[in-house]
Amino acid sequence: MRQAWLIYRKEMLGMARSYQLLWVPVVFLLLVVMQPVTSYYLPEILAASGSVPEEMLAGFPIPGPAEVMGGVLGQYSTIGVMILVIAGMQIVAGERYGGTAALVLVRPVSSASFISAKWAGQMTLLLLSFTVSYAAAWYYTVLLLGPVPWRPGLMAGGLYMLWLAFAVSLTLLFSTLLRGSVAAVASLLLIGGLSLGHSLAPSWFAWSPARLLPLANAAIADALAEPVYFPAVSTVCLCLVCVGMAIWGLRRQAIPDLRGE
Amino acid sequence: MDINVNWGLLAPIIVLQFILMLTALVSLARAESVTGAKWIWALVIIFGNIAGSIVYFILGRKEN
Repeated sequence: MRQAWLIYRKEMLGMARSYQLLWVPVVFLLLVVMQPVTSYYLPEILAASGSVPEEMLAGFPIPGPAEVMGGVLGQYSTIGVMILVIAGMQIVAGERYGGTAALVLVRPVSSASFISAKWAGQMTLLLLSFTVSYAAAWYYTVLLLGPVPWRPGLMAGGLYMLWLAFAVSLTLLFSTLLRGSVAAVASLLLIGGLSLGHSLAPSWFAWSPARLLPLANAAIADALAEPVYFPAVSTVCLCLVCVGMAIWGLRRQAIPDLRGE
Repeated sequence: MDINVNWGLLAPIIVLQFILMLTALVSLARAESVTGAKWIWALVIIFGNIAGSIVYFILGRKEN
């Protein structure tokens, strides 16, 4: 426990030194805050571009707060996931191929505390980026477009955060098994495959984390028709499975990596 | 071209963009080596807006 805490602190220090702790939250913020702002100013931007006829602009609807929050969530599931995966792809792979993992692990450091500290670090980054940016997007939406009720807003945010946590855990697992960039591609493919699979055959993928996205979108529109426990619990379990498999994977191959690399 | 803009509303966003750019430039200046030439990355960061800084952070930095 103490060991994991030490590695976690070193990990956070490393993230601060590489500015990751700053740029990932700021990028998230910019990404989602733009959503309410551009929706609000869209008619004026179109008018200024001059190519849209007057009468069409007159009837141009400004989207409601729920719709805009739906757009905000959409940003997380596309660019948000991509940034998190790419930012996390080197998390273990970098240390394995750089040789530091071997240096750390020949000391009496268990791979369990190594991986769980890394995972906790990534989760901290996710938690920070998500809460700050989601709160800002919410604030701007309320300011510009009208109130967003508490319960649906928090529910949708929580579900999305679970989905992102799954993406981060998956990236950690692949980063333990593969090289950095390959790990990113593998994670993105699997995540994309899951949500594609879900949209093609929802009933087959009702158990999967991909189910969280439509549930969150329904929640924000205040049209949630089914309980969210099942996919939520299965996602938490899958995250833990990813961490467990990463620990096992690292234990199996930490040292052989040094040969010829 | 007279968009009625509430600058008080947009100021935080502009400040954030500026912070992001500045962070990227500081990181670039302090990096011992980056992929490619430093001055090209500086141009990318300054003129590439948000995307320029993101691309630098993802592709430009070398892990010692």
